[in-house]
Formats: sequence, structure tokens, C-alpha cells
Amino acid sequence: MPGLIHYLTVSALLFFIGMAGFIARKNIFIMFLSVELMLNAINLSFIAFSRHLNQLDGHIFVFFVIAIAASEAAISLALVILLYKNRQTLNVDDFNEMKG
Amino acid sequence: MHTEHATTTLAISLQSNWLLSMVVLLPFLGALLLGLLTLSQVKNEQGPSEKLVGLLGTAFPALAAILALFLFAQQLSQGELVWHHTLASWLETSRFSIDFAFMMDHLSGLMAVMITFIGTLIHIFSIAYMHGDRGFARYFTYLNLFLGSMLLLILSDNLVGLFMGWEGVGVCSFLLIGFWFDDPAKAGAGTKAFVVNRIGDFGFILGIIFLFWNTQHFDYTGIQSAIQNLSPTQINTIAFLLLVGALGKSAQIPLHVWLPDAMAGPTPVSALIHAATMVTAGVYLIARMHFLYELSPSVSMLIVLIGSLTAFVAATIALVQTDIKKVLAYSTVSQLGYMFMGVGAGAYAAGIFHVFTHAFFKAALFLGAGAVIHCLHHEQSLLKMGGLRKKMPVTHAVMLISCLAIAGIPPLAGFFSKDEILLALWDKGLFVFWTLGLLTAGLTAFYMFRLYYLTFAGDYRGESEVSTEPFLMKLPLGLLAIGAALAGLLGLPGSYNWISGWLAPAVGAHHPTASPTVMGGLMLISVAFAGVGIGIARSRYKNFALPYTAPTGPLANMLQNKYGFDLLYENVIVEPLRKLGRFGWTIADRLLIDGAITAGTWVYRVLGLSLKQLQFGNLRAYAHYLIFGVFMLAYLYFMRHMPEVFRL
Repeated sequence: MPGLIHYLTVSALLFFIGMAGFIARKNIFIMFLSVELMLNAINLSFIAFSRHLNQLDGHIFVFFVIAIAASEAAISLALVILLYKNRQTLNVDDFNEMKG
Repeated sequence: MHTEHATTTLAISLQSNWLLSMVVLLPFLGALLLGLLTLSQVKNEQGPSEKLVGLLGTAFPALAAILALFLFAQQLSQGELVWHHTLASWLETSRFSIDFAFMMDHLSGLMAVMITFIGTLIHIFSIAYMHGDRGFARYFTYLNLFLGSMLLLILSDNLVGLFMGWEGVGVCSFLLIGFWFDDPAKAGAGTKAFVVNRIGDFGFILGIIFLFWNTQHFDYTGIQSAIQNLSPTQINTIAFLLLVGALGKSAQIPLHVWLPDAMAGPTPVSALIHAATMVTAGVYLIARMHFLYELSPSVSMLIVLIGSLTAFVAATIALVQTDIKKVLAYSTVSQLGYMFMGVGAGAYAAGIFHVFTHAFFKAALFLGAGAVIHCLHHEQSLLKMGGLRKKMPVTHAVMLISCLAIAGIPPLAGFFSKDEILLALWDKGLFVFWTLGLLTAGLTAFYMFRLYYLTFAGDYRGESEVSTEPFLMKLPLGLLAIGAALAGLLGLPGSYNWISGWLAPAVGAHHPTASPTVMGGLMLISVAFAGVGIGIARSRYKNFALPYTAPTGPLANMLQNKYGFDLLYENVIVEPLRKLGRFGWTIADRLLIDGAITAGTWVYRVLGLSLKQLQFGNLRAYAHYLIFGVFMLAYLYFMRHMPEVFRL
């Protein structure tokens, strides 16, 4: 039987993969996917703790995160489409006009 | 509280004492109405209709005059009657209360009737004088406001109310001197009057505070009963501080410099405010506080000294003035000096009597001068007048009567009141001041008839066409001339002195001890001095012709420079203050304060310039910041709360 530590290990791995993707990749679309990955890694650790402690609080958090992630995805996909329509590129380094 | 006093009098006083408050409120109401009317028409080039404004502006003072006369007539018929009315409570604390309460005793009754009556006449005169002026409605607003403030000053039953009126008339004086404010000189004259008055008012405020500190009372009756327990030092201090206020308002040396400059205002204003009413407020204050000054002989002597110096100095300056209004202005200062001599010598009734007669003949003189100026199209120089006797017969007659009255020729008004004051000085044994007063009387007769002959005798020396004075000018002039001729009969010398007996309940009785022979002799001497003055003026100016050679020599120069008061104040007070101001502006403000703030902005500018380098627009870099920050926060959190994590 996998225990708490296994779940947490997978969660941490997923989180760092997502973070690496967010930092390293230049495609905005992929960066959003990485963020989703990080969110779900956190979800996994919430669920694992929830099971481990026999409490429902973690579940509630997860539901909220899923709901917000869904709405965020809807908005961000729309943003990505608009950005592409305007600039014919999704390379994040090209969007550098707002600076001090 | 005060109405309990009034219950001792007949029932009629209970029913109609609210009229007393109306006397004060009516002019304020007029000012409010006219002010709103002025504001509503401010975009209109013509302004509100002159007929409407003139009617409204004169109706309220006239109503107040009728009411005041009605109340005064009740007093006349009932002897000891004193009107009281508490309009509203203003301040209530556990230690004291101040009401909007009015009191009309024999003193304030006489003053109120005089002020409303002369005020109404001057309002009527103003309709003609200010005709066609762009500020017609504004002028009447201020004039009504002035009249209300003056009545508040006179009729209040406590010093706080009097002070409010005192400041109110000061503001109106400032507004009306600077009435034509687009001329910097005139606006400056208004400011000068205001600033000099503030100096006096400062002493006045201190006096009121000190008085309250020691007596716990603001109302006259309370003060009068509590003051007996004070030490002479306290009484002298209070008397001196209140005197400082009176000196400022009544233009006595050393605070007299504002009044001649105040002639920048319209001439009816000079007649009403700077001759007949406001400037006599200082005399009224001293008469009102007579119980204080009776206990302070040293301050009373100071009043006589200042009064006689002022009377003499101002009379000498008036000798060399060539502006008709300036002569009258210095004459006013000089006559105010007379009043101060009277109240300083303990003859409070005589001082007030001179206030009363002076109001008539000086208002007539100023309005006469106003008519002359009006008909000569704003020419004020005596050198460009002359020969107006035939062209302006009414004004000529009025001016002649008033000049005779101020010169002290019997049986006209000025003779009796001036004589009363001189007699009081003689009685007290103040022969030096009596001599000064007598000399002043001679000088007064001389410069007034110099003015008279230069204006009316000889040939016309001006260029502009002389128009005739309108009816609205002749009417008040004639009524005032009657007053100037007859007002003196209220105070015939000896036991026929009605006014002295009338004022006795309010300001105390004063019985001259001189024998009838001495009194007669003194009168003869003063009439002789006046006659000599008139005679010299007649011989020198009856057939005056240009060119005018200004008198030269050290004495004349000193007079031309007005004894150097203005120069002295300019160099000793104004210029150092101006330097201090300039120092404050360049060094303290611009260098130190502005410098510190500019330096402060540079710190933030440098900080901003360096920190903005971090925000260079690359999203992935921001992601690095974010993650770095989260890790730092997590590290700090674990360090603090679970340090064992790092020991694994």
C-alpha cells in the first residue's frame, strides 16, 4: 500500500516539473499548462493529507482549487487566442513592452 | 435674567422691549437682503436697479431710526426707564453665560437715536452721490451692515457684544475705505486702517479678558458691582488696555495715522463712519466704562494728555492741507481729541455731548464737501474751488452754519459742547491742557474758515463745469444743518444743562464748581479765540487767487510731513517687518524649507531610478522573482517555527 510519503513525493515531483516548465518554456500556452500542473500537484498533496488525517477540509480546498482552475483556464485560453491573433506569436519574450 | 430689571418699569416696556432687538436687527436684515440682491445680479453689467436698492437700503435704517426714536420717546416721558431685551442665548457654561442681550439706557438711547437718524440722512444723500456707480448695491449692503454693527456696539449690554459690533464696524470701515479697490492706493488705505485698528483691538481684547479674569462678568452691571473689589494695579491695567482699543478706533495719537488715509472712501462714508459715528466709539467705550475710569485717575490723566496732544497736533496739520477732505479728516481727529479731553477730565456727559453735536456739524461738513466734490466732478483740491457761493447756495449755507458751529460761535452747536469740555478742564485745574484746548479752538476756527473761504469766496478757479446739487443731497444737508445749529441748545451752560442731567443716571453727574462769572469769562475767551481765527482766515483767504505758494520753513515742513508719524512708522515698524518678511521668504522658506523638500525628492528619484531596473518587462524573469520570493518566505517560516526541519 502506498503511504502518505509516496503521495507527497509524487506531488512534489509534479510541482517541480510544473515549476521548471513555467520558468524554462517560452510558449505562453505551455506555461499555462505548467501552472495547471503545479495546481494539481498541490491538489494531490491536499487529498493525501486529507486521507491521512481523516478530515474533509482538504477535499473542500481541492474543490475550490479545481473550480478556480477551470475558470482560470477559460480566461487564459481566451487570452492566449487574443495574444496570438494580435502578434502572430506566443513567445513570451516578445511580450516585454510593460517595464519601468 | 435682565428682563427682571425691566419689570420694575411700566407694562408698556414689557410689551415693546422686543422692538429694541429689532433696532439692531433691521439694518442687518437690510444688509442681508441687499447682499443677496447684489450677488444675484453679479453677472449683470448694470447691477440691480438703483431705485430698488436705494429704497430698500434707506428703508431699513429709517425703520430702525423710527423704532429707536419711539423707544427713546418712552424714556423721555418715563424718566428712569431702561430698556432690556435678551434676543437669544449665545454661550452657556457653568462659569459664565453670554447672551445676545441689548440694553438701552439714557446714554445708549441718545447714541442710538443720533446714529440711526444721521445714518438714515447719509443713506439718502448716498443715493444721489453714488448714482451711476457700478458698486451701487454693494455700497448700500456695506452701509447697512455698518449701521447694524454700530447699533450692536452701542446697544449691547455686555462687552462681548460691544466687541462684536466693534469688529463689525472695523470690517465695514475697511470695506468702504477700499470701496474702489481697483485703485491700489485706496485698497492700501483700507488695509492701513484695518491693521492700525487691529493694534488697538489687540489691547481691547486683552482688556476684556483681564477684566473677566478678575470680575467674572461681561455685562456692565456685573462689572460695575464687582470692580470695587479690585486692586488699583488691576484697575489701572484694565483701564489702560481698554484705552488702547479706544485710541485705535477713535484715531488718537499714536494710532491716529489711519483716519486721514481713510478719506479714500466715498465721501458719505467719511461722513458717517469716519466722522459722525464709528470713530466716536472709543469715547462711548470710555463713557460706558466711566465707573472704571473714575477709579483710575492716572489713566484718566493719560487720556487728557493724549486727547489734548491729538487735538492740537491734528489741528496744526490741518492748517496746511489743500485737499478738502483731508482738512475735514484732521479736523475730525482734532475734535475726537477734544472728546477724549472731556471724558479724561471726568466730564463724561460733556464728552458725549460733544460726540452728539460733532456728529451733526461734521456730518453736515462732510456731506457739504461731498456735494461740492460731486458738483465739481470729483475735484477735491481747495485750490481749484472758489466762488461756489452763488453756484451752490444751499451747500454754501449749510457749510457756513457748520463752520460756525465747529469754530465755536454761539449759539451754534459746537460752542456749547466745546465750552463744556474746556470748563471741565478748568475746573479740574488742568490749566496747561485748558490752554492747549483753547489754542486748538483758535486753530480750528482758522482752518475751517480757510476751507470755507477757499471753497466759496472769490472767483471759481477750476476748469470743469459746476453742476447743481440734486434734491436728495439738499434734503439731508438741510436737516443736518438744523441739527448743527440747534443741537447745542440741549446743553446750555449752568443749571439749564439738559443733556448733563439726562446722562447722569448712565455716566454719573458732573457739576462744574466755577462761578458764573468765571464761566462767562471762559466763554468770552474761547469766543475771542474763535473770532481771531476766523478774522485771520478772512483776511488771508477771502480774496484768494492763484498761484498758491505752499508755506515754507522748518515749521511748515514739519506740518507738511504730519510730524513725521507716517515716516517714523514706515522706518521703525513697516520696513523692518518687510525686511523680516523678505528674509523669511528668501532664506527660511525658499532656501531651508523648500531646499529640504527638494533634497527629499532627489532621494526618492534616485531610489526609483535604481529599482525600476528590476522591472524590465520579461515575464519569465518575474516568474523567477516570484519563485525566489516564495522559497525565501518558506525558508524564513521554517527557520522560525520548525527549525528541526533543517536538522534532518
